[in-house]
Amino acid sequence: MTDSQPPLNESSNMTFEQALATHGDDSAIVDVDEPCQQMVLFHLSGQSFALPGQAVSEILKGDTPVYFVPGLPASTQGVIHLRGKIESLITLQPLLGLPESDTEGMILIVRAAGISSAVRIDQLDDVCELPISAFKPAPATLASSLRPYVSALWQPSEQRTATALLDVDALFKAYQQGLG
Amino acid sequence: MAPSQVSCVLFNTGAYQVAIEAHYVQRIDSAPTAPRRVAIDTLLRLNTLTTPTRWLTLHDTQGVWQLGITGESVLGALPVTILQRLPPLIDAHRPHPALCGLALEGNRLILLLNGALLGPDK
Repeated sequence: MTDSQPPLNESSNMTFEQALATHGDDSAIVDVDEPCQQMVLFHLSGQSFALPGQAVSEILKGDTPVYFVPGLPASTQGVIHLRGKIESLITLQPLLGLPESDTEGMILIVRAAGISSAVRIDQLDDVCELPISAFKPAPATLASSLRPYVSALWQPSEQRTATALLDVDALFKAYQQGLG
Repeated sequence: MAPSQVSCVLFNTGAYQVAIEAHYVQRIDSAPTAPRRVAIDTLLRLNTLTTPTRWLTLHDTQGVWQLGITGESVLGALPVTILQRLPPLIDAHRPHPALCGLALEGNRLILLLNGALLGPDK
């Protein structure tokens, strides 16, 4: 070995502290005592959404057989047979003003407002516990089609897109009123 | 002891099978005879508009009327255990007030129509 020093480029030099801080949420300290809520995270038409875990009782494969019922709007795909019970199968895109998807994705069984229905999603991302404090009120700039049905936003870092927490009661009530 | 099945007239329309309680159907003809009549495709707002080949004669408060169907109809019985009310979100969008329930028999979905709410003017 020689005594020569490696060339020092000050602009790229960084301390461990600075380097580790660039990892953002990966390095965040989780307060284990903080109240958390289970969330089901999923994608619909390229956007990220969440439903409270208590509202989702089951997750089914997207290729579950669907029985079509005549005269229904595009938001209601038909019914599925779930262990002897017939459940409606809806899509959220028409109500949320999102473009339709052509993927089978997956199916969530969702219960709220005294109603149970299957809901088709494009992709299941995660089922996880999130601190309640991480959810912020939906901003006034949120798209008007989403505003009635989004109760909060979760954005773990500025680099990641926000996840919209859906208000299932509001969604189901809207469907019952003939919207969607 | 309560009956465990419902006697129905069953027929197909497009991809669907339909059931009407048998006591609402007075007779079945191959040609229409009543001035008041409607095809099942029209009633359920189906896109598959076919020419009826059978006419079920029913009765409402305004008198006799006929429901046009395509193909054969059969008299059958559906077990009570397979009959279910419409799920709430289907009920909110049902194409006709007479659609009162659904039944799954094997892989076959049956639309249950309430004969009292059927009619050419409803």
